[in-house]
Amino acid sequence: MKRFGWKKNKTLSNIEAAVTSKTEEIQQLTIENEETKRRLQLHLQASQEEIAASYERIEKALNEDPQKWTLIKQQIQKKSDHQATFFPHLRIGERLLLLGIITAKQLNQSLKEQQIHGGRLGDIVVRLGYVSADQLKQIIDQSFQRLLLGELLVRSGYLSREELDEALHYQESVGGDIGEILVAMGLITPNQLTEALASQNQTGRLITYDKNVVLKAKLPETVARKFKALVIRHSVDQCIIAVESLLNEEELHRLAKIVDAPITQVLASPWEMELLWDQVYQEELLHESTEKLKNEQPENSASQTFTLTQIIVMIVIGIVIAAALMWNWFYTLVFINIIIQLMYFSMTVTKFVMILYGTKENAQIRFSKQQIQSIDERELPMYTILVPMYKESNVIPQLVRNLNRLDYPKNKLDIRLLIEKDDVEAQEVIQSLHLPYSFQMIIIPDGQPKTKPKACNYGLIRARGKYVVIYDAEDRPDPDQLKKVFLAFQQSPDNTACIQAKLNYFNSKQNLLTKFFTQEYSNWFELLLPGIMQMNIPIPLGGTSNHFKTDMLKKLGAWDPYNVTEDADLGIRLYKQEYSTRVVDSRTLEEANSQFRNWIHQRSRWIKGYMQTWLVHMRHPIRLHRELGIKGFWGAQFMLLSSPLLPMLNPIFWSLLIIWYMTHAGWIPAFFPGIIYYLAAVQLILGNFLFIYTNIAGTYWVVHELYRKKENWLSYSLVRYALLTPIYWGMMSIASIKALWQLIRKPFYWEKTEHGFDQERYDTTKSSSL
Amino acid sequence: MSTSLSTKLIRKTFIKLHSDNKQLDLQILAIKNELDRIRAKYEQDMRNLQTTQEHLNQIEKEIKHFPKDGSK
Repeated sequence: MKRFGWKKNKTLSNIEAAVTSKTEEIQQLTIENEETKRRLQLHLQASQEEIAASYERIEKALNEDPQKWTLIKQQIQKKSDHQATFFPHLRIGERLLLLGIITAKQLNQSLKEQQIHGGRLGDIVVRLGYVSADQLKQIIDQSFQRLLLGELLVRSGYLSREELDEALHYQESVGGDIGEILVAMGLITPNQLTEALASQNQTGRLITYDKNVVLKAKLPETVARKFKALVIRHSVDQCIIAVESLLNEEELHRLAKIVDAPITQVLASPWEMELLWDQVYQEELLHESTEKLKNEQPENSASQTFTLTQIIVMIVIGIVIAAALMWNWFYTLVFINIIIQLMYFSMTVTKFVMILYGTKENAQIRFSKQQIQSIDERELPMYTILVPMYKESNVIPQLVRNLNRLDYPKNKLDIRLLIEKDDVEAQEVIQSLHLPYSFQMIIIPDGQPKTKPKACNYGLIRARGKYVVIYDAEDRPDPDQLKKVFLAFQQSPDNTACIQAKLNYFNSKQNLLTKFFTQEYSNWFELLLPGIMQMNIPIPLGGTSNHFKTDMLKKLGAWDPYNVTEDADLGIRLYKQEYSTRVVDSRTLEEANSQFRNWIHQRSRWIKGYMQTWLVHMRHPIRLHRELGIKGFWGAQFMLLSSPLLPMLNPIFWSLLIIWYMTHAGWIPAFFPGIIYYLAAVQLILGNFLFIYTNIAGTYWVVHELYRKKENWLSYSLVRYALLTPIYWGMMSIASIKALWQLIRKPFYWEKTEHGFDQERYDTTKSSSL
Repeated sequence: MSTSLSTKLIRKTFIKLHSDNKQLDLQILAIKNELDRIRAKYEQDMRNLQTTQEHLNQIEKEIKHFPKDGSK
């Protein structure tokens, strides 16, 4: 005991020492930061002064020899850039100086002004009255010639000729915009690209802006989104807008009418636009991500858990049951039991049929390696990857490695890491990683409900991809998954809105719980889900790795932020709109929950979500029947009700069985009259056997297929644990009762699943399958 | 009774120190990130200024060697 206390004290003093040393380190770092800032600022100032001095020197040299200056002026006016031997690449300020239109002092003044307020130098010299607008236009028209972007970057010194050739060569094979390729290859920064584009188009570059001015001048979000433009400054005689790509004459004309002022465009990089958009329209984006579905399709929104009608119906059913129990409790219970037994039986049969369908070779869309290799990468579209995460900074480095392994042109990836505003740690970790430019951190503003679907909706609004997929932070998708999905969409009918990749777990060996979980997922994604799709009934989608056509997803109203299993809900809504979903033979490995409490949190959320989804779509059962058809309607009932209902009922029948074995009480068989007794017996023996057997078969199926492909991250030894499945059912019963309790008390509460418990022990990142 | 109180106190102190420690780690990371951002911005600005300076040096040189008769 004493020794234990001594150890505790030692640990305490160790932490205390660490806290003290870190506090000192922070003080030291803060001082160093301030000093560095000051030092670097001085360096920059010195360089700027040197440049200012150079302009003065140039002016002086010209003044010293007026005759030569006249000749220089003639030379500049006569020749266009590409033909000239002397002064071949003059920029606007230098040109004005050499032509004697402005003085060095005026030029330096204009540059200073530009540094503070941004905007085009040309506009500034006009505004300061050094040059007339006509004069400037004349000079620009006569002297500048549009160069190719790559050429411009080489001339600007941002890129070597060899690097440009390398990028052009890459462009030949993958297609896409050369600017984005150069950025994706890390050869230039987005800033340099935008600068070059601005220079190429003889337009301004977004340098600086005043947030208050921008907020004051902002357009309605719908208008801004339509034109993809943000007003930076708005006065009577001018409206400066920031754009990612320049608007054409017609668009400019229409926008000018709206703002009632002539428009000046300045270019901003996509990343700057994203940041700016977020600052200006955060409220609108947040409103859209939480309220759009609720406002546009209230009948599909889970923002209201129980409708008044549903409450009345439930009360009526309760009263009828209570009255029946009072009239004759025995017959009433027998009657209820008959219904339950029939339900059990039909669910067992349906599951068996689904599995039979799922074993068909064509239940999943499969592609060979040759088919993947023969894809013309130039045809691949922009792909958005949404990664919602909360307090999972420990898995971010692994996430980045996993996403970097995707075999897809990096210039066509739009990866959006969706971080909640209060998750400061994740924000700092992401910044410290210096991620490639295909990664973008999107901060999700505070607001209720704080759920994964809300974050996804927020990230989706400005998604650039033709397709969009969700991955969880700990996900490890197969590297060729995006290409397989691309092919799957190509080969599927036009109404295919979603391709679901299969999920499984990389840490199956960690403990008994992860083994159970792996078996369940193997069964679900390898057999059941493909079977459901073959039978063409509504599919509760998997939580991640569902790939959508972006436009169709937006048309559907995206995810329901109030539903805690937004994936299951979306599956039903897709079916309602007659969109189809297919399964592709590609896997994403996730981290199976390895801790009991954590597992209960996650599972109860899922079950609660299924109940929520059922309640939402059963507000108007007749209408739902009409929308889904008879097969779809009963399929949805099966899919949504079996998850919460069976685990809730199981303990009752297990108890009855145990009591009967222990006491042989005569009243128990009396509850199973006539054929129901045999039905229940078949259910008990064959049904349970079937459920366990399908688990064994599903797991064997996956392991066998993996071994055939020479992948060995799952072992045959996992199969035998399927015999212990009843333990897992018991756990599910606990979770389902908790889910029901929570549905009533906290319907929108998103019970967080912790990840990253596997990191040290079971890292399969070096596995051959990856 | 007093042992239980002292255990509780130690536990409370432990939790507080642990949380402080984590916060400090985060602060250190934030400061380092800020320094990185300052450096990156400085390097970018400096590169631009250097390019401009080189360009101006070239112009000065060209003015110096510009032929008096205006021929190429």
